Amino acid sequence: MFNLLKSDVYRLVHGKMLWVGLAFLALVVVGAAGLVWFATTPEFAQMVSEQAQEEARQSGATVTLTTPNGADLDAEEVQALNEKVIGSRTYSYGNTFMVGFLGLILAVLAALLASSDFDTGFAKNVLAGRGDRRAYFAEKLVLIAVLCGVFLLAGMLLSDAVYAVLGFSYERTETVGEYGSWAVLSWLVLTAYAFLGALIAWATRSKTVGVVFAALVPTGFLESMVLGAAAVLAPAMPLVGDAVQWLPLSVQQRLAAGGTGLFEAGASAVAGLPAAAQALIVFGAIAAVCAALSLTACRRRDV
Amino acid sequence: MNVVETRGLTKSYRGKRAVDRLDLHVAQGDIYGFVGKNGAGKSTVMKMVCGLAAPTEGEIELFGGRAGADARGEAARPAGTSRVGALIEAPGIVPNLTAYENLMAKALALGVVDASARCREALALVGLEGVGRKKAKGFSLGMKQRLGLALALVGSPDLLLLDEPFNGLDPEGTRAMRNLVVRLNQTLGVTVVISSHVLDQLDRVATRFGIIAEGRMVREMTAEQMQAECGDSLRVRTADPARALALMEEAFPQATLRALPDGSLSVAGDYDATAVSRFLHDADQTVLEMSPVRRDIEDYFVELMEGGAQGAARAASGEEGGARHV
Repeated sequence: MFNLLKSDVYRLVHGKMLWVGLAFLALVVVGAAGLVWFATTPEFAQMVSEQAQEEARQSGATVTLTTPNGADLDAEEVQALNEKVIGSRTYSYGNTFMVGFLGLILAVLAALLASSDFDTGFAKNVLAGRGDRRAYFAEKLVLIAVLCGVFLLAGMLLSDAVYAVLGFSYERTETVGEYGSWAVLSWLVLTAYAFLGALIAWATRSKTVGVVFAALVPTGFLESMVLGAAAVLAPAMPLVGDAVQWLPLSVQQRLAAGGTGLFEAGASAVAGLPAAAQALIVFGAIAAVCAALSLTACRRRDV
Repeated sequence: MNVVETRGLTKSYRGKRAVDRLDLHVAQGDIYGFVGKNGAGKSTVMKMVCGLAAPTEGEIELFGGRAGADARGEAARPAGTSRVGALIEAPGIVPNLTAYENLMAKALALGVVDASARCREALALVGLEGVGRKKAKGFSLGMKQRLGLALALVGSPDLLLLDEPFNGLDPEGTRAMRNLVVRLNQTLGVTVVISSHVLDQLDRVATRFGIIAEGRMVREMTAEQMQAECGDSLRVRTADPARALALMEEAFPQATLRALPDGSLSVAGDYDATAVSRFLHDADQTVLEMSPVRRDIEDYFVELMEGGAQGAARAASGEEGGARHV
């Protein structure tokens, strides 16, 4: 299996896929941080204020800046809103790239990795003369898990660097445990989505199906439709409201709030488990099922 | 010793048998020409031999190690597959890598010692040492075939399975490929199985032939037997063909004698036309006609394949049909 891993790393390093993926990640992190920075500039505040006053003038109303609870803000308080302060590091990661984007990139990458060997026929080179295909599929899963770690780490480091360059500071500092737990759980989320992308590509032997899946599921597109339907049903059926909190997207959103509240019991479904436990259960189960199916059903198919 | 031996090898797709109880025998050192029409089942047999497809029924023995289909249809790969190099259907090339990088990727996957040097050797062997940093996606069909062969050679296999290796090659490329196969066989002792429908190319390299039709082995024979049956022959028409045949069978035991439907006799194999003429004269046989006949190898194989297909149809309808192994 180690030889297969060396071969795949060689192909990734000499190919385009890895570098294009990392370039996209860099673009999104820098772009998102740039937008956050722009939102803290006086120019942005001026722009919003002018637009609001213009709209008010047209409708004949007066404009007053208020806090979310409706209290009026004076000039000093408005200035405070322009300070470059973010909740925490993990909160910045969660809102910059974790929800949707990184899951999408890694699920696409996994689907392409899984299908490309069969599309190009390179799988024949590797599998002809190989006694057991289990090692082949296990190695691919290990590679995908490693890539998830690499992309997550790259995103975290880049995010820290970009926010530091832009002059941001953090309101709260997580403990090492909170920070580490958040990183491990986020890696699990990404790995589960990437395993799912690879499984779909292996099962269908189609790159297109794998990529379409990546665009619909890890981005939360399908689940947001389910959440929308559940919101309508929840008042009449409280169980539905509880159940949707176990959807991967709901769990992912709790993680995106950052590492500080990770172990606090929430108003979550059924047992009110903390976000960490919920993520471990939901995404651990997805990853385990996908790995088991890949190592059993997929390896039996002819090449 | 047989390097490959299959017994009752069968592969079904949705109930239809693509390979039907096929018995194949490839001896060590053979260049085995695997002949059959498109869709006859050649590629499927090769895939099963190198472990890319699981047999539905039957056994495959590679280098003496046995494997067969298990009850769950699990891809039971024969022991010894690690000594097999294969170029089956299209060459498995990663388009965004160079020829060298493609070879390195496979060499690393197989754990080849001194991978870089082995890859350069393989490139030189197939004549691709000069392609430099050109990506494989820019290769011509012939270059891709050669790279496919180089990929099959990575890991120094003892058995090489080549499926239609002459496809897309120009005459010069075809000759180079043919010479390379012979060189690998004669200098490195690699046993080669080549499937092709370019019969005149196979005829020049193969030492043994297997003819497959509709998934069934119609006939296996050595190159000498094939030459004897399909090469130059003598057509002899006498006043008493039955008597002439009996006399000649006794006098020319090395020759292959057949009575043809039009009443004439065919003398093939090891014979001398002058000696035949003199013998018939001395035996008081009235010779009405004696003429040399040249049969095309293609006609011969087509005849065998069509005969095999009819046999398969008969077998399917309940009559007995089978292959002849020489």
